Amino acid sequence: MRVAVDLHNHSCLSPCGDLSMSPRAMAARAAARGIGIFALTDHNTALNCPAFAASCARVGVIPLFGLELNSAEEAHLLTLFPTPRAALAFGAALREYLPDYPWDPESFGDQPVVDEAESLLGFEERWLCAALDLSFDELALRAADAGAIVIPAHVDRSMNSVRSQLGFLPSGSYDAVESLAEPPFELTGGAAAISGSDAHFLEHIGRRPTLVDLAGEPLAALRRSLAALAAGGWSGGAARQREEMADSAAAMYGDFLSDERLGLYPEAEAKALFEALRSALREKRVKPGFLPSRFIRPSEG
Amino acid sequence: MNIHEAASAVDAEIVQGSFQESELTGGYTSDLLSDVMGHAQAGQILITIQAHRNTVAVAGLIGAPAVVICNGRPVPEDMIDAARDEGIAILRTDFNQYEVSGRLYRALGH
Repeated sequence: MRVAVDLHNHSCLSPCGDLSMSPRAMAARAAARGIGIFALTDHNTALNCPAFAASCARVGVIPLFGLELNSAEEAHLLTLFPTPRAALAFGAALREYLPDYPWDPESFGDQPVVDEAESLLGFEERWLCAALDLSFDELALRAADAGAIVIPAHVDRSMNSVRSQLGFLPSGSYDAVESLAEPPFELTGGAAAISGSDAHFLEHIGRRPTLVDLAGEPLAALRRSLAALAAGGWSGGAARQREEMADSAAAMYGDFLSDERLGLYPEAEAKALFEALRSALREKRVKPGFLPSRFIRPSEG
Repeated sequence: MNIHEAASAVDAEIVQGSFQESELTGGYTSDLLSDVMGHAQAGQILITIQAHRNTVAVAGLIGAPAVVICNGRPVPEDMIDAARDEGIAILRTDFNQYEVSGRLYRALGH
């Protein structure tokens, strides 16, 4: 069956993400737009994944948990995981490679971590759009080793793409590439090209979905499990666990990863659906919603 | 050398001219904003081909009063708007970064 997937979206945690992009608001919008599989991909962080999981479960949208990584070359890479725990573990491990630049929320935007009820849990104190101290190749390898679906982001964009930063797609094993318009072969490496919304505002969600051909059963099984979880009032874990707000992102990663409630996420069904999606991407059972080239604005294309 | 003089030195048009004139202390040539964040100093002109609004955000953060876009790259409207809000000059020249760096380095007596 065909399902609309949107694998590139930013919450309020990304500094460029609008403050209205709480996971709760995002999930509601995705449901309204008919998105079946919806990924959260904040810059270099996974801290809003628990709230995203709970929010999507509540509205019947299947969530995927990811990070849009910014490599040392300043090219972006989407890395997706089946469970909030897997994404959090990856984000926590990469955080030592995120430089500690002094930065100004006035110029760059706030970076709030929130829970499913839109309450503030804390702030990420390092600038999330900074380049990690790891190369594109190294990031792709680490992500693949961690079991991620690896998708170079907006490969044909005029900034932060493999094209703008390197001039080519490094050879590697990618599950797909994401582009704005139909990409030339040299930017795909033979992988399927998909579209994604790169949503920073609520109205962006679902603007560039990709239709994917997937077997119905893994989708249905995960939806059932998520519905049961939501019916039990699952909040994603670590909501208001502390009396005060967390004083650091490292502390928040620690809190989430040690919270047993995170383990309630239906891992087996999630992995089955995740691998079904990966197969569909690798077998190119996709129908992307590319922009016609003439509509790409200079700042985007 | 001030910003207008720098523009003349590299045959640049001033595409964002709402700024307060100031003396440049030097220049910094890089296309990686992470590198600019880590090394550029206040008062330096940024010499780059990264023609997008993030360049302006970084220039504002480090105190660069001007950005020169090389190789005749088009400057998008949102970059101009962002620079106008911050009072950062945007220059645009057909010279490449080597040529721009050389001319400004010499003109600044470095």
